[in-house]
Amino acid sequence: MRKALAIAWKDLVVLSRDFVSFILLLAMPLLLILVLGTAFGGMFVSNTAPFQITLAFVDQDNGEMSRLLRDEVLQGPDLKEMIRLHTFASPDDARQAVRAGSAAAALIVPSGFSQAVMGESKTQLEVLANPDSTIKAGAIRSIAEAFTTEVMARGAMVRLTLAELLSRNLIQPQEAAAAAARWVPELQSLQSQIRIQREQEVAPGAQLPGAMAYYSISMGVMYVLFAANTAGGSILTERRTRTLLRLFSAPLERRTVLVGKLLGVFLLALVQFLLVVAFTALAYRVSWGSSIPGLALMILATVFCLAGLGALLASLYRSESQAAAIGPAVALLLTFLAGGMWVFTGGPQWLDILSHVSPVRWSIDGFLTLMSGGSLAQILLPIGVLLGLGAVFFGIGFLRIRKSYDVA
Amino acid sequence: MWRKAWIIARQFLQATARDRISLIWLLLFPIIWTTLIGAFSSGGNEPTPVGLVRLDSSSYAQAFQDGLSGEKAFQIRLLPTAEEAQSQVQGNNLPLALVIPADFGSLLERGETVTIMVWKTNRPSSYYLDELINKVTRRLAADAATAGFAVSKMAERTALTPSQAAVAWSEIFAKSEEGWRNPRIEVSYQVLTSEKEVQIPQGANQASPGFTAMFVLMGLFFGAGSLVNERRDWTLQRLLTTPTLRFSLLFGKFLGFFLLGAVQLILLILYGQFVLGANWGTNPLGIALVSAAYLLAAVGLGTLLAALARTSQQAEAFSILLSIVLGMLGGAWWPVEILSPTLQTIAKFTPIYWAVNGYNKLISFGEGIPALLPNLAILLAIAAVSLFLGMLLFRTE
Repeated sequence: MRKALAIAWKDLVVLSRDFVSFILLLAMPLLLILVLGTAFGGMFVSNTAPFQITLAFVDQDNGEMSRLLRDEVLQGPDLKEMIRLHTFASPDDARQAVRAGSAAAALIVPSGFSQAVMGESKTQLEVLANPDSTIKAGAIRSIAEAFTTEVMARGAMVRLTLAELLSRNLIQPQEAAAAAARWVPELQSLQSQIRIQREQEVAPGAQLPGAMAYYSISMGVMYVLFAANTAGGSILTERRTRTLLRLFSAPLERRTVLVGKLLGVFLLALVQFLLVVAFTALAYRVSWGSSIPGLALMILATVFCLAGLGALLASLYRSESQAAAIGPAVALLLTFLAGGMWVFTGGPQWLDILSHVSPVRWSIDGFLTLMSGGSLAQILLPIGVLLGLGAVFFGIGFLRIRKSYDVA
Repeated sequence: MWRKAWIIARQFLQATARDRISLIWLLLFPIIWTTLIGAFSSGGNEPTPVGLVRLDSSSYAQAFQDGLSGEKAFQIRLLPTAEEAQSQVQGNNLPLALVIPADFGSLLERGETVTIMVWKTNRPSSYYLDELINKVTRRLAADAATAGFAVSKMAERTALTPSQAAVAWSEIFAKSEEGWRNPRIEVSYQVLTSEKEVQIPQGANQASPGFTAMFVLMGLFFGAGSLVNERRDWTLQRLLTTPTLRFSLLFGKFLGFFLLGAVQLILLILYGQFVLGANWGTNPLGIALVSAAYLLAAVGLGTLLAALARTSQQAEAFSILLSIVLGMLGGAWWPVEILSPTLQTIAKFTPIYWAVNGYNKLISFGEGIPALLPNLAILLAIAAVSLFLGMLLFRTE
């Protein structure tokens, strides 16, 4: 075993000597995490402002309703942080600003809006979107719709109540207007009877993992697979450069050499994953959970499984260029299938079943549970599956490589 | 000189066509990937499955269900029990599930607060799903508030038996609910475009141009990486011992890369057009111009990469990672607008951004060739600078 360790250590030293590659290959996943994390950061976390929206606002109404919309909604406590409001005098000016891209969207309140709302006539708010900012403009549309729902609801309350009272002769027509005016404060204080209670799988005190945390897992794991593939591929390099034959001529059992080589793949993947975890925890403030034994086991199980996959792939390649071409494709597809790039929940059932074929999926599940405050006991299944898969991968890889050695 | 360059280019193309491995990244993988992503990113139109447990059979619970079903973004899956809903969400089979409690209707009628439980996965989920649930809830809460308010006003003026009150409540609730079918105040939504009615890139129209641009870049990075292999295997040096100018050699290689990229691009465009249903055919000349400028930029960057990479492993690893990062930044994976303002600024330094932006102008926004001038100018500038630097830095030994 000591000899196998020495071989593994030698491989680790050789690979880390190519310092530039090592650092750059570490920088790439960190950059991917940053891009994905910031791209989806705002959109994914519920109940927070998704992003800053520059909104061109045109008030042709100058009435109570447009004031309410501007001051209480768009610049109210909930949305103030999210919306940067620029007021324009005419729809044409606002249109110009949206076209030029200096505003993501325009919201136009037509003249007579307040009157129409109070009365019986139809009216509409107009949202104009910049073609490059349809997501932000869509958010403005949602806000405008929430506002009109609220306004229509208040209107309907007065109208339907009056209609009911009039039809039952409980109020005289001439009293109606005065009664409606008296109801206003009462209507404003009405509270919603329906409460939405959102339950998420988050332990008390823990936070829901955000996009940055999510992509730290998926990109970190994908990168470990890249690294394991590169390390596995180095076995082929040794075969080409005949250094492997030299090792065989040393007083070592072939099995020991092979175990050492595979151990090297494992150690390299482990070091690189640990670096990703440490860097994302420090620089991106990703919380990897509070269970240290859980985290340690998840890391070991993930690395064991992916290093095993690297070994298995290495046993299937016939040349280094195959390793360089096929490994990354496998890593990308497995990560995609696991939902590591696009978070697809609730897709078709077959996709969910298929995604469990990917070890990346089990890693994501396990780490997410830890990040949401889960304990070691809750991640035994993913750990078991990863270790099981890893053992199978290593086993097949070991046998295949040994067989090819015998031929070599 | 030109003939030699052409021979070198032809030899490169023949070698690439024979190499089955490079075909994986040039064609097979891009096709699989674009198809998969195109299918998923049409998610803009695909409804999200939402679990619903109705423990209450009242008409109010039905109204809530109808409200949810009325949202195009949702596809309601009825589930028998709350436990089932919870386990579906835990197992990540559903992004969220709602539970309407057994006393939903009776509590509403009595004017008391009801709680709808929403289970969500611990995966990041969209902000808009919550918004839509809020929207449906707001309407229903408004119906209940209207009914409650009207009945309370009636009760102030006349004595109502509990059953009379219940009947009135239920009737007014239904009228209020009816009111949403023909809303008096609407929100019109219009995407401002140059002139015509256009589509925003999504589904295949986003995935096909985006990933075509990314994989062409990746393919050319790989192709240019072959220079590093040739240097390693000494075939490049051997070529230079023949009476071949360094210029002919490099020009021949560039020509080979360019033609390889062109073939790959054309095949991926045809695949996008005829299999994925992307709308590439609007302005063939415009597409050709953007493509040619982009290919030149990609050849330049590939050469620069080959000049900077010391080993073929480095070149290969960077080919993939770098093109993925540039693709994510440049709008190949998703519209650039979802990136932060800083990243959007950085995106403008990637050639993919200018290519995808150019394709979008043609495919989705129906613009003409004059609108492409900035894209062409920037792509050609990237090509000129990177080719110059690449040639300057590339060592044949």
